[in-house]
Amino acid sequence: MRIGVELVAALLVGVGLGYLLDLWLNTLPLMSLLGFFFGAAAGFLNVYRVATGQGSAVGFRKRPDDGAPSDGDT
Amino acid sequence: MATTAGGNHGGEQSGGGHSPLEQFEIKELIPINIGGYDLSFTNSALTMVVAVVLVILLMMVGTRKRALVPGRWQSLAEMSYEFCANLLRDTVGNEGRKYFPFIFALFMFILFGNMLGMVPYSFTFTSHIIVTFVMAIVVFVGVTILGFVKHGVHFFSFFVPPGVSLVMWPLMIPIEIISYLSRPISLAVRLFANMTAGHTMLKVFASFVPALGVAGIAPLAFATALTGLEVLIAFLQAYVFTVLTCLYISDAVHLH
Repeated sequence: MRIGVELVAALLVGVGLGYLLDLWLNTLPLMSLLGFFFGAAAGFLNVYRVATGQGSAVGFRKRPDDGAPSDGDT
Repeated sequence: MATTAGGNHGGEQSGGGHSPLEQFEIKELIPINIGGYDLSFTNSALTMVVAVVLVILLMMVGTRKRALVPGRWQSLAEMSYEFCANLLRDTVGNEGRKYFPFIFALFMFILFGNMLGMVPYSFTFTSHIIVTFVMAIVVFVGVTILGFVKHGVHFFSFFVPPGVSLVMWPLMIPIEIISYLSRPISLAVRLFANMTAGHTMLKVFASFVPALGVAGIAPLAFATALTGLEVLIAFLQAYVFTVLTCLYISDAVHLH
């Protein structure tokens, strides 16, 4: 559940931002497509961070003391 | 109408037209309309008020005696206090102390909301995405403001992963920004989806009980076990929401 939500949420934000940019700049399919790929990349990044125990931290850094606290993967 | 095995067993005719999603229906209790906006007092609002009142009551009863050897209520109040305090200290550290009231209020509110949903015929307000989303947005906006107040413009270095060459920046920065913006959505959807899915599943299994007659003992046993699991999930999801809020605060306080 956790992994899936991370993936879909980032994708939604990416496409949503791209679509808003499209409406603003009148370049309809372009920014949405770009946003789709960036969103997918961000989703994979989120999943990678959850999987490697970096929590939802932005940036490639590991906390010195711990990994992420255990999470409800239901 | 959150349902448990027992609550549903007697009440429903086999094949009766109860949808498993009926429990999430919002009902107006006191219609209020101010300036064209529908601000009615609903069953959702009622459950929230009950949750807040119960938390305040627990804390007031628990701290009334202030005994050196705590009684039952005082133990409960102290345990919930220490649980949140430890959580905050483990994730944020000592700088996190001043955010304790917020974290504690958030945790208790979600926990009581989830637990109230486990009472038969009650309502689970965390099973509505607008409720969880508003909580997530409050956390997200609050953490972002906190980051700006603490670090000023330096906050933007948040979106540049350290050790990435300049050539990769145009690629990495949008990805990091999208990743950051997806936080409230994943936070809200996780709580909402867990509560909604769990309660729906419980109701579906409970509706098998009268439909199967004598063999209904099997889904009844299963629904009973699921009720236990749901209590666990109710606690776990409140915990997860709080832990992630703590992590976000920690990210904003200790910027790399």
